[in-house]
Amino acid sequence: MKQRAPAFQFYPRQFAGDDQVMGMDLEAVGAHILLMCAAASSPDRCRIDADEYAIRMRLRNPSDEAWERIKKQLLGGAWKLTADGKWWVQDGLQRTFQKQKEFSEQQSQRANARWGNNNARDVPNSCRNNAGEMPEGVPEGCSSSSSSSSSSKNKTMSSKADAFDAALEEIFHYYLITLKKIPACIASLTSENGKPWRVSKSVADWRRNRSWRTQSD
Amino acid sequence: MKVCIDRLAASKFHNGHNRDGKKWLDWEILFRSEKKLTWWLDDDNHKGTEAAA
Repeated sequence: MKQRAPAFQFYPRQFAGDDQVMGMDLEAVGAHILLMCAAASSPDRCRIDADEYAIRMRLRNPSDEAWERIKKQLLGGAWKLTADGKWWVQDGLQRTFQKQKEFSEQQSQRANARWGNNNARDVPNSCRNNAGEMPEGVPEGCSSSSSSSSSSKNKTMSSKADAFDAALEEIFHYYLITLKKIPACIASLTSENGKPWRVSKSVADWRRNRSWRTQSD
Repeated sequence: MKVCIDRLAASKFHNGHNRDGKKWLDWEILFRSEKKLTWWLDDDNHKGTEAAA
């Protein structure tokens, strides 16, 4: 399920210099910020229920006199009561939310156009974790950062890696036969799991094997 | 790399003719670093050894 963003954009200079805010007293400014937080947290991101009791509770239940003063300032421009009288709407939040939504849709369309895929949506939270370790035997060139490379490029890299694999394996056999005096048939066993980048591991395994050590030394 | 292996095989020092009488024939002796690989490939380092071998 898509989750709401936990934050909203706040433009401090625009807020401090806003005509409506400039005309508010300190209590009204505080009330305005508290209600903006409530509206940004709401499902619609820009409005709150017009139930005055609920609003007053959000504002720490000011006295009737204070509430009337605050309400007058808030509804003087910063907040608007909808035609049906059910909601207080904050224009600035509404505009910002609309901009973000349009930008998100635009980026989604660009992604779809570029990748030919109609499912460019938000990444689910379950996918927001680090990439796992690459499996053993994968050459360095095939790291996850090359996700944009084409399949032909991957094939080329793979064939190069295979060639490197074969060459290094051959050299390792030569090393075992020449320096460790291991018969060729046993030397070939050491590379049964063999990938070139695992040669060091093969050597370590080989060292641990006492019978081979006896043969070589 | 095969040249390096041949040179290591021909090196008396690495084949036990040293103060401790030990053999130094591990893979890492040859290829543990680029510098080491270059050393094994440099003819100047192995003139005497090859002649002896």
